[in-house]
Amino acid sequence: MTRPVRTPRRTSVRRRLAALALGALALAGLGTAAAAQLSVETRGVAAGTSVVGSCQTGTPVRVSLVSTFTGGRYVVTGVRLRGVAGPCVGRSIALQPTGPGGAVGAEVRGTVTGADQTHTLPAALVAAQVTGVAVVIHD
Amino acid sequence: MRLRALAAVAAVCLLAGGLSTAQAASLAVAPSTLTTVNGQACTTSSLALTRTDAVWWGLGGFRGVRLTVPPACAGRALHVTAHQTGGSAVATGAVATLPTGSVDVAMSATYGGIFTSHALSVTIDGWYVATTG
Repeated sequence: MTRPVRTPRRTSVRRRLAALALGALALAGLGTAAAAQLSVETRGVAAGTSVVGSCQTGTPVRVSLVSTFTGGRYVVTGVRLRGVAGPCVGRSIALQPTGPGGAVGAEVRGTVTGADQTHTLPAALVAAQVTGVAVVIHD
Repeated sequence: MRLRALAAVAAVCLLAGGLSTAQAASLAVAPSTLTTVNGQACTTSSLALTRTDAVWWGLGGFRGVRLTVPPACAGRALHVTAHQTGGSAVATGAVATLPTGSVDVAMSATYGGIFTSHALSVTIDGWYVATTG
């Protein structure tokens, strides 16, 4: 039993083959790494801050109802706002009559016209069912 | 020398990139206002009501109403309507500006009596207010 003799030429070839294999493995690794990346579309993200204030300061707005007696009961046909501050004039307004179970009737949208104003409801509501009116004044 | 110049150019590029990112991250937002109001009746309690100014000890009806007004309702407008149950109005009364405490309201006509039964409905600033008595 004789062991094969390693010649310098054969060793050099083996080293080159090993280098080639390592190179191939490195390339495969790079491809995998590249595949692991995700192409993300460029988008802008911006953020800012601003103080949201109230146009009504000081005296609170007085909310009353326009009621008439019809058919043996009081019905509400409108909402009157008094004491609306000047900075609120010209802004948008939304009013929603409410009852014990939530909203009653349809929302009314409009514009603040002055310190004293009346907004007519699209349909008369039974006064006994109206316990509140939610009002929002916004830009 | 060449390496230092390259390093300087790279530093400038990094700074410029940072600046553009910082500019993109700020946004000019115009100030706005949002005002909310929750309107409610001045009272959710029932008002004590009594019939007054009786005609023939009440046999012929009444010509007035007495109400006890809570402090929160002072300065507001009151309307009273005497009516047939589910029917038309028989007499009305009003107070433009309510005081605090007991208030007498004169009705426009005689209501009630031994032969007729009339209900009374009250609103304050248009809000329906339940009554007792």
